[in-house]
Amino acid sequence: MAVRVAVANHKGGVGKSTTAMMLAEGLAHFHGLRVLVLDFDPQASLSAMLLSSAGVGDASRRGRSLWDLLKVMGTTQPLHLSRYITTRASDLIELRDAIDGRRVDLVASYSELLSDYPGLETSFRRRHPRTRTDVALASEIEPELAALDLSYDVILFDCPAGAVPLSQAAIRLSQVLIAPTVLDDISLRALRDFIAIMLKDDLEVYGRLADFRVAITMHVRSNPEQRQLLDQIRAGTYKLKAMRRPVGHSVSVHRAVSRSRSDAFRSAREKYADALTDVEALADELFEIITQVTGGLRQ
Amino acid sequence: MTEKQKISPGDALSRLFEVIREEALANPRFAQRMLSAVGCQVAFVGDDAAKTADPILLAGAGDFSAFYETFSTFSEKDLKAMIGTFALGTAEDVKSIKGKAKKPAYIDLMWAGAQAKLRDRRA
Repeated sequence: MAVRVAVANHKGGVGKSTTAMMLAEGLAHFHGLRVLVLDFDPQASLSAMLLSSAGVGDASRRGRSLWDLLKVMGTTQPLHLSRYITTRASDLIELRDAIDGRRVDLVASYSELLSDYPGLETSFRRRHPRTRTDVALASEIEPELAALDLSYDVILFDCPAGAVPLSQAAIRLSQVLIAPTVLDDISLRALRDFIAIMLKDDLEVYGRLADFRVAITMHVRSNPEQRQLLDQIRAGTYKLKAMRRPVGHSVSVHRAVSRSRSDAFRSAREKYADALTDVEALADELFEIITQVTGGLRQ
Repeated sequence: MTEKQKISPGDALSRLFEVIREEALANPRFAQRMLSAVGCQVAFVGDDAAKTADPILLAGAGDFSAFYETFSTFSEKDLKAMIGTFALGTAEDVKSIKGKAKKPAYIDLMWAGAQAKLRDRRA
């Protein structure tokens, strides 16, 4: 059964999409897994990282975007999530050329959703007037994900910022939650609120998650304040379980998130350069979590 | 350019560990992080204690008397430095502490500042 992982934090700009990309590609490249990514963020950052901006437009023109999916969800037509998947979405040469099934597939978002989403949500709420929108969304998507259980090892959601139904639905559907955060007081305060208000009080999912980890992003190793916070987190002061490897604030990561063209491919070493060890470390830890959740994956 | 030396694995490891040991002795913070990573708790004394202590971490244990006992061995100068390093109070807060025995007031200020940070950060 595919393990579902949400990459979520209601604070924006903390590196959710970048972390999701690193996790998806790391799991596929280093562990040979079949990963489906659902980009639930109307900003479509992750989709552009994987497909390039032109590639996102292509996916939309072919009717394979989150927008197309949500339009159908607002009607009585059957969903068939698999129709909206762009296969082999990653620009890694190793995944493009893989013959053992390892891959990253994607349900791409589309930035036009930024203006169209409120209308879609309104029509969705008309269909489900007595149910919270996120609950209704999750209940419509759940059987579609179950149908893909044998096709994928991991289904990973890139969640939008804010307490919005798409993010809430993705969290409801997931067994594992990775919350990227930057190491500063404002971000840690926001993380505290995300856990207490959204995960515990509102969605009531915190207690039933198989695992919850904080992924530290944009880490400046020479910053003494960040070093202090990292030491405190590792010592258990804030009762947060952090992934062992913080991801550095580096030129390599900046370059990795830019795919110039949809037909441009890079090796993992070329794409991530000295951040490749961070990708491997993150993927290794998520793989350990997934293995514990499932008791082992397919060979 | 010197000729490459052939050394045994044992010698290579000895040299490596010697560098690590020297760095740990010169940088107690580095020593503390290394040892914490392998689950060792080390008690630092003297100047090293001031370099490695983390008042927020200690306040997190919730025991004011243990907190007080730890920091009462530090000099006023070290306590003031710690207030600044960990942003537990402002320069005005420190200046407002008057009288001969400032240490208890500095420790109270550290405790209050650390508790405020813990309230802000803990889920």
